Amino acid sequence: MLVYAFDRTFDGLLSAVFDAYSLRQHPDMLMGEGEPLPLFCEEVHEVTTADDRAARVWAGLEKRLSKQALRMLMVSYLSELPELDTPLFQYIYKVFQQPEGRTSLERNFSDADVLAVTNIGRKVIHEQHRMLQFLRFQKAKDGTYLGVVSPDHNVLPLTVAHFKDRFRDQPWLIYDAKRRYGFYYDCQEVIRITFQHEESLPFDLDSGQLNDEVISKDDKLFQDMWRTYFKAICIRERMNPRKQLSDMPRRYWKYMTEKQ
Amino acid sequence: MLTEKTMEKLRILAESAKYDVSCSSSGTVRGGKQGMVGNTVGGVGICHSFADDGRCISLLKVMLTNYCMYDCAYCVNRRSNDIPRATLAVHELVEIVMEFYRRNYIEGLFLSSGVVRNPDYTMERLVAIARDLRTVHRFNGYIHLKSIPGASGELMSEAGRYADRMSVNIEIPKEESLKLLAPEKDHQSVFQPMQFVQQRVLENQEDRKRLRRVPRFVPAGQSTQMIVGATADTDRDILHMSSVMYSQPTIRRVYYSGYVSVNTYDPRLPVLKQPPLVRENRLYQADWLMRFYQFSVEEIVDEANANLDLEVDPKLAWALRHPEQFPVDINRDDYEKILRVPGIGVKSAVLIVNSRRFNRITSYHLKKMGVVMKKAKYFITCHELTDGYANPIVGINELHPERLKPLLVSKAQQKKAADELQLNLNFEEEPC
Repeated sequence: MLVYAFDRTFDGLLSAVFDAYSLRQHPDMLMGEGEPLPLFCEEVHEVTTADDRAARVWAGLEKRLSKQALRMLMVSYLSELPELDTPLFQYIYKVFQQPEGRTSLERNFSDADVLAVTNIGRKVIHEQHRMLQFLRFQKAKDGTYLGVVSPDHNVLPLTVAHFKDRFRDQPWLIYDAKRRYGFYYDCQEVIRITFQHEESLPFDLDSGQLNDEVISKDDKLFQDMWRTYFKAICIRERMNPRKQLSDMPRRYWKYMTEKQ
Repeated sequence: MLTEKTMEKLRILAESAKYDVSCSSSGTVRGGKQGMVGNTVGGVGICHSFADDGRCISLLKVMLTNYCMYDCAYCVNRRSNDIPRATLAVHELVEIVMEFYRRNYIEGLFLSSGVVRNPDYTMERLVAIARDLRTVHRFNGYIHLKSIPGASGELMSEAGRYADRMSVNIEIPKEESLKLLAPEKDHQSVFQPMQFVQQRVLENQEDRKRLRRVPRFVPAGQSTQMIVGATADTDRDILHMSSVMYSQPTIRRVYYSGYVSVNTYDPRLPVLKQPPLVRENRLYQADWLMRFYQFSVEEIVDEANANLDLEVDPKLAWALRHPEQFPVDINRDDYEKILRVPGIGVKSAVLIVNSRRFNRITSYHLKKMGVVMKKAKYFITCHELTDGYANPIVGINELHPERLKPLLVSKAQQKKAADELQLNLNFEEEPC
């Protein structure tokens, strides 16, 4: 069995495809560097990530796949799942086996790799939608709105365009507590931020609540109002906690005002 | 500045509004605009939360006032009910909407109202809220307004300029049942505002073909709702009414609301221990069949089956009544036929017709694509099940529908259906 090891970046994965073709090899597996090797592993090739090679592979993909399929590749990569590496690699590898020009491989869902990439991509898009649903803002004294989330997949970059379009006249900060980075919008443009000193964060990472000294004065009132509304709108005769849990899994409750 | 008092009003008015099931924020895509806050995303809309009863919270569903001059038997806000009453001031409601929206709690506002003084007075106040939101607060999110039957044309036209969707509820599918429960209302009073909005929407579409900058009128169309289980009307009556509604160009959704016994003292109403949730669910499934699966209403319910089978879903029920349509060949038959197989939905049907151009689809592929093989296996063929005597084909035509049905119904489903039928029996005994 031939295994390629790469640094788990997207460019690294594309470089792996480049290597496979330039070495005239077809690896059976792709895995992160330093991960335990599988049984019966005969040969390991260490992929060196090179931007120019990755760019060449990507340019080739652009010639062969539709925009939607390209987006699906990017989106599925954001899942950060280790089990995606091999199918995604094989999918891209197979694209280049086809003659130049538009290939229809992207629509062949009976191909295990295409289906796996599509299904994982769907999962990511689903969670991205859940961020639009369940993110809750709190207003700080200076007028900035803060929303904290901790999604399973790295979906924050996919949500930025939506929040920018919707809340264009209010400055906001959305922060991924799991991956420790966020996006800040100052009514002009969105920038990616990280905090250097965790202890100076103006909010609590576990509850997502703004500290008392920075929260705006009537924010608590609106939070209470929302909780009141949330309770009032439920019809007690129709209680259905199972449905609630399936649509709003408990792992998202941590930062949601109505469930705090 | 809002206070605890406003919060109490919000609680009362949300409690009054919650029996209206319409919730969606779908049907229109409108990007953000310079100097305004909000957008609408279209598609299936965004549900921001799910209440403990499992229903989604997308729009702030609230009544402007729950005082009402009508006395409809099925309504919690009827004038003879002794419940806390409240009225929200325009500035209070507008501030709540804006603050909730900015915190990403809601997609917009779904505003309804009890009828006070006269229809025009009530509609005027609904319009005032929408106008204030759009012009003063520059709100660009979703607004769903109730059309008040009997309101004047000018008010309705103004409402339609601000609203994304307007709705008026049919409530009861048959006029004689409606007359029994709400003597002050008739179907004409519901259809008239519906027709008016429809007329204006169609005119607006024509205008926009000539002049692109004409503002849109009720871009997300109309919706309506029917109460299930408050009268003796059959599912056939209900679904026929829905089908008529869907034949109208602007009706996007019909909602079904399982009747919750709110006015138990009224002898005209059945006393239900539990709202008819299974029946409501089956009606929604039938509704989906009409909208996305190309079924006609007579295929779902006919004279012999005026009510939907509570034990099995309407698609499976249809398949069991029509064994001659099966087995469906996954690799050859049309998309429309594949769509009719129980266990295959729109998503997997699309995957199947896309993929079968490359190679033969087998049951292994189907499973991977998400087809519910437990159900579908009796209704399809992939030309792989016939490997001689060792593994004979077992499909609907070999088993016969009456022997197949018990295999597909779980004990829990049976019990649920039986529980609800029992409640219906109580209802039959009720003297009307």
